[in-house]
Amino acid sequence: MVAPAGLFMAIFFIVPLGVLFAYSFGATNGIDVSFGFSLDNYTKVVTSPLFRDLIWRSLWVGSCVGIFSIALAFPLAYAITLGPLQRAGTFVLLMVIVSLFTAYIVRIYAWRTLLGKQGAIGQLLAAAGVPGAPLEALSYSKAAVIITLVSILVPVAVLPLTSALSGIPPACIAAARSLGATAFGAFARITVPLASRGIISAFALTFVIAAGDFITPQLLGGPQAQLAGNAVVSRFGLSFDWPLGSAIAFTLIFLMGALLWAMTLVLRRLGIKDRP
Amino acid sequence: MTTTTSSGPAVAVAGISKRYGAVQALSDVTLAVAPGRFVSLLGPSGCGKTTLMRIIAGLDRQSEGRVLIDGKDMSRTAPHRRPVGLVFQRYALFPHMTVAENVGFALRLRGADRSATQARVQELLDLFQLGQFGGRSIDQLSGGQAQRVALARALADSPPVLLLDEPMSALDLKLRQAMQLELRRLQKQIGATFLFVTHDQDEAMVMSDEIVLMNNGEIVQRGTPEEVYGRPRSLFSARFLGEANLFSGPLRREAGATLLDAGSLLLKSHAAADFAATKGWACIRPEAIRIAASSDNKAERRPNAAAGRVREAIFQGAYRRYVVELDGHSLLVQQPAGSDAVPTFSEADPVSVSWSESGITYIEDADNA
Repeated sequence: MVAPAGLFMAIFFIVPLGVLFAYSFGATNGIDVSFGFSLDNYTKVVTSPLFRDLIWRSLWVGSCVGIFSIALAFPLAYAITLGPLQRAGTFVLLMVIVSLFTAYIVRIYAWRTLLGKQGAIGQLLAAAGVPGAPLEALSYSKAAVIITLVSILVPVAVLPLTSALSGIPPACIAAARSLGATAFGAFARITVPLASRGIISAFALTFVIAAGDFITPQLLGGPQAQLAGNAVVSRFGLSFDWPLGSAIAFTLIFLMGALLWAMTLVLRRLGIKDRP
Repeated sequence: MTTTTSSGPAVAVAGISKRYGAVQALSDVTLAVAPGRFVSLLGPSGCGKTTLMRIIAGLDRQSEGRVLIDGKDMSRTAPHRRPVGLVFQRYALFPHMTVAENVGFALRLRGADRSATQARVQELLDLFQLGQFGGRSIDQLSGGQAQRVALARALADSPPVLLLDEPMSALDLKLRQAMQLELRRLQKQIGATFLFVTHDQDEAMVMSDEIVLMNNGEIVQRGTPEEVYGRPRSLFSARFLGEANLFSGPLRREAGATLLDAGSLLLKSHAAADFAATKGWACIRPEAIRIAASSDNKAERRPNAAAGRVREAIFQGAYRRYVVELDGHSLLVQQPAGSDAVPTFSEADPVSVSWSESGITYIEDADNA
């Protein structure tokens, strides 16, 4: 079973990624890409304030989306596993999965009609006579990107959280209560640590997808909310600077990995292990 | 503070009912458990014993009735404020903590200082022969060790009452038998009140000061193991605890004795049946029956004796069992084995059986029995 999967990964993931990685040390004259061993592209990425800002913003938006997605997905996952909606669990989970089938672009456009300057939310606020409603902040902004990505990624976060929470024996929570833990104490000391693996996976999944996204910022972000992915796309698609685009992509990948690794280290320090 | 100061019951429930939708899990259960006793809640699965235990612990809320722990009304008290320890069927150890962290959980919650906690944890680990396991993780433990960790964890904060929900059902027979005696010794040693939920009648008899027999959400009978086994008050009690030869028939009272006419058998006892019905059952335990060789298969009907043939003879190590075919009845007889004083029989041997009056218990013929 592992060998064919490994072969698949090698052909369709490792090799293309390797080629891209090789590009990032090369150069271009605008027509052809020449391979080499130059660090020029990385130097450009690190020294240019534009790219630096884009990458930091990607990591920041990704983290916000990860945290908000978990904050919204956790109560739902809890309700259908340990909470009051256990009987409806399968149905709710089915709905969550169905929502994943809805096209991503469609949902982005849906949010655009809601968040835009002439959008539904804006008109509602205007009709209600809310003075100085921060409509500017809603349309074409980082907030718009974060709201949209969270709405798209909450279902993604629900799945690992549900899987982790359903593995927690209710008797463990009851045992903690009988040993003197309040409802919140048992939640903090038993439920959350035992679900930590799911929380970490949910964060990693949503963070990586959000930080690497370029469509949402393109359609909803405006100039102040472009992410690193937009820079990569324009290097490849517009300016034909594939080596620089690759370097941006790999810097982002490296920093995302480092952030996730640091986060796991901190959680382990706090006594929360990423095992059940 | 393992012993309670007041002389009242350590745990009492009064008029407890519990409904889950249309299902009546408990109906009007009243029970008081004296401090320092080992009491078993015994019954088949679904009889409500675990529900009753969860209500006492505060994990489930009763539909009606009151729960008193050490004289205080705790009917509406949150589980973490009730002075009871709890041991679960599958132990419910915390998998993200070491053995020592599990055992010290209650103490850390209470905010006990670190050195006191450590000392108490080590004391408990030593008590349960887990001295060097403190740093182990839970998945490195055997079933018996996990069970002892669960006990140590529940006892860490010295609760005056310990509730145990079938804590041995996951252990194999040998280990279970050893743990039964160990648990009994432990209970005597610490003097806490143990309320032990089980469906295993042997387990209940081995360990308990008192058995509370439950069926269909009600308490059917309670008493010492000797009382409940020796004097069953219902067909359910007779059948659930051990084995019983049961005969039904019309009851007749004459000259201070009660007679039950079961066709070819006549049972007679001077111990009066404590009910007035004219129809009933008689229960005789298999070991209360004497068996002897007989050549005369056509004996006339005498009270408390009969003649028949051995249909099955089973050797079970410590004892022999015979199924004796009588005229219209078959009788289970159990005799100690390994003694030359007790004769043995083979299949098809003609035998006579008899029992003394004290071996008979009359049971009222309840419609629902």
